[in-house]
Amino acid sequence: MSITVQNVSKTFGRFQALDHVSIEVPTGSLVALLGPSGCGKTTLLRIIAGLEIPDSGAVHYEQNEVTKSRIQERNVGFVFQHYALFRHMSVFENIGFALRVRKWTQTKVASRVEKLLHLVRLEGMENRLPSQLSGGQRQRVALARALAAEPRVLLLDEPFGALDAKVRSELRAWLRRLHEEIHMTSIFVTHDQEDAFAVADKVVVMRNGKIEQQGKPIEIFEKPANPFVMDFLGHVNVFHGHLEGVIPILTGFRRPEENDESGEWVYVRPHELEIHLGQVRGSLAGIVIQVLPVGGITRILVEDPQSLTRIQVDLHHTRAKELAMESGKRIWVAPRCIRTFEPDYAI
Amino acid sequence: MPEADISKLNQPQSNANHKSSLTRSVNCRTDSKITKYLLICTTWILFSIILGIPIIFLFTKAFSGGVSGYINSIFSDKDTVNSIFLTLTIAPIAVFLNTLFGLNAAWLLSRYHFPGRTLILTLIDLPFAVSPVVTGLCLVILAGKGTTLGTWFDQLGFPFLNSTPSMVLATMIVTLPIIVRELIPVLDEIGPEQELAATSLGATGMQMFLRITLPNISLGLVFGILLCNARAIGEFASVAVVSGRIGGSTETMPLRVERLFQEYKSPADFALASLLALMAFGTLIAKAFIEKRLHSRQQSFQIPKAR
Amino acid sequence: MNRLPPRMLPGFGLTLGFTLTYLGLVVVFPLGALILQALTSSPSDFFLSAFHPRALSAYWISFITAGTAAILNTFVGLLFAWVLVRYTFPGRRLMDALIDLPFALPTSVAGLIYSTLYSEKGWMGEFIAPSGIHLSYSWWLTVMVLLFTGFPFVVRTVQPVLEELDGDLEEAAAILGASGFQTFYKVILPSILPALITGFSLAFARGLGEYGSIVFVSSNLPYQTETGPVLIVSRLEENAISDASATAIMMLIASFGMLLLINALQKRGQTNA
Repeated sequence: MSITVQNVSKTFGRFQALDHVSIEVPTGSLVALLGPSGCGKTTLLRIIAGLEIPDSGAVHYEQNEVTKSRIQERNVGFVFQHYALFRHMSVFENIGFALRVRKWTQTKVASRVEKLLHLVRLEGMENRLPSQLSGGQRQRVALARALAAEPRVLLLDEPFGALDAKVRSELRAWLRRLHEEIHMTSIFVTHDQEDAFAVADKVVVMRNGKIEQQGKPIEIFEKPANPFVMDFLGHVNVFHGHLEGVIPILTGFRRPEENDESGEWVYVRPHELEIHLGQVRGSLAGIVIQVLPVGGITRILVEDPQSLTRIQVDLHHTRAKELAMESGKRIWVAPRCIRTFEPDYAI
Repeated sequence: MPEADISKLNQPQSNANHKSSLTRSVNCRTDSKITKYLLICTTWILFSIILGIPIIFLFTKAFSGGVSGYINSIFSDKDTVNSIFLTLTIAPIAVFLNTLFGLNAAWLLSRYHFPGRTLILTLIDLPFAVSPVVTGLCLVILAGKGTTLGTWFDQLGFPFLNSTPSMVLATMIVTLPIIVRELIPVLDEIGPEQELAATSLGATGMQMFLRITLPNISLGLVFGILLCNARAIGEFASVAVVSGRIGGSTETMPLRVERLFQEYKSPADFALASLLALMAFGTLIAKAFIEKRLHSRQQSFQIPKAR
Repeated sequence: MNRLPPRMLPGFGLTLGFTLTYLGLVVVFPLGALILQALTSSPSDFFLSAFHPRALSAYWISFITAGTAAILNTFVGLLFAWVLVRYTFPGRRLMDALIDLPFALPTSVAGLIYSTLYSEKGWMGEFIAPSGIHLSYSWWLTVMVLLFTGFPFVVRTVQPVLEELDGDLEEAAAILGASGFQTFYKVILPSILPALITGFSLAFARGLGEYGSIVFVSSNLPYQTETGPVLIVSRLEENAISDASATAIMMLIASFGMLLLINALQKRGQTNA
């Protein structure tokens, strides 16, 4: 089932949570709403679910307008941020709840719950109470419970928010596989760009109640629409610079006191910078002040001796060794490529 | 408005969580040993004077005629037996109605945001700010002899004053805030997520209430009912005002205690009073039991909070 | 607090309707009747009864007994809370459990016990009689019984705050050279002051309205030991309902004014802290 959100706005008191937001969620896709806290992503999800009513605008499921209908009437599966498992019920009773209130027979409930337990890989746990489960297991119970009544759409509010890093990455992969199995239209909210990029077909980046960019993960990563998106998706260095033909030229560091309007900025990711031991065309001189091996790369902090501005360069281990990087060394940085944005966007 | 303060009237009784002190190890702080022993001794002395000696005195006096004298002084007096029955009629009715009200009002006030919420809270707290004597007076003014409502009741053949319904009503008013005030923090602490989840899964309002809300608040509810019941049994002033205190027909246990006291019927007064004290001890024991359950439940379920 | 717009959860209409009906019948109607009675009586009659010398003395006696008891309660309650939170000693659990007894015990039972206990034939009465003090039927005994009914309010409001108190703060104060008394006065007292004021006001409000125990322990003599509630009841027994309601209205205004004042004090205390 496809979902269309048109021109939706919502204010809480004086706070504008959503400002004329429109998105399309095609049938069977898995969409991530991504942004820093307070950007309106959760409000948007709750409006789609029917937990919140927009001040203006409309929500359609297929062709039917559901803007003002209650969550009970929408047949959505909703996974709450802290799961909202029924504390006094076993895993079995939790998952079977939606079926019991629909007056299914005991045997039909049992067989359906068994299937769902298999789907979320919790066989044998049906008699446990939520308090006896780990965070990741609770999350999967919440998911199974939401799926029990075969909803038309699955909505998840910060599904990985309460989990530690390792469980988080396992669940991400699992959720992606699950989605490939059941192909249900799904939307989830996250503040973590890794969650969004690892799982979603389509990512919607939001800020201050507005959509900054939406598209496939790879598109957004490679062609961020503006400095905010670029910065939100990972560290970015900002310089004065321009292109001469196809050759990127850096003309200076961005000093801390310079504001966004004061020049033409170019944006370069740490891995797009190269370090030279001598001056090359378009490069800037700096001093290495820190060399940190991080995972598969070596992270090098370079300082401009005049302005004391620091930038970050990520090099491959072998390259860093070749260059014999150590703090105090004088080097030159040059970009392999640069990005520029319309001046009205700024970090 | 003073509602914020009145609202706290019931909190000391209600706060089930503070009991953790007993299981928590006491931090070694900087008080000197002498101060410590001095303070503990003073506390024990005060405790004995205020609570200990009076309670021992009560039971010593009550049993001054031996066990048979005790039983005799209560059960051979028809009016006393009547007062026990009357109290055991009035208290359950008042508590039942206040339980219904408590569930409704606590749900309303803890789950919804709507205009007029504070006004309702203030009205609920009002009986705590008003002397029970004034509560009784209000009922006399509302439906006493010669008032429109009173005359109407008289014509119907059910005079309002000096009747069991008027005593039930007086008890209801005086104990009205207790259960609501007990339930609101419990409901607030649980939060609406589980109920929202239930409705999102297709539960009707009734299904949600019976299957999700009620099991979650059951201990708090029992707690509130216990306290409400204790107050309902002990209510004196408002009931004294509306009942007319007719021996054998509109005398509750506390009223009967006073009557026996005024008539110098000792140790019958103390015997009946000790029966009320036993009920109070029963309440305390049940309360301690629930607190223990609550505490173990809290420890076994800790929801991880994100970030 | 996570509260929702009425449409998000079922039951708003039902619970609102039930709550308003019940409150209307049980609280608004009766109290409205009292206020209406006062408004419809002639102002001169009202003032005559409300400021009758006997009434004035009753207000004063209520105020002085409830006030004295509340002040004593604040000290006693603080001591109990302090000892229960900070020390372990034999019988602590029992003491902690029994603190709630005055909440569960009918106040008339307390009145009965105290009046007999302090009479010439009672244990305490016999004990203190040689010193020439006769507590029975004086307003000191009223204060005593209000101590019984009121001190748990202070204990139970202060206890949780003392428990939450950060031990590090005290240790820091001690390391910085503060004496035990200075630590208490400068570090602990300010943080428990709001709870103390709350406990005080609860005990005070309870004392102002108390009747069930006072009828036992006090001689209830007009101008000497008669409190506001006792006066209201005796006016009622004389069938002087308008006199009774004038006094009741004055008591209501007084206790509301007191609560407002304490609220304001507490607000100021909080903004200062």
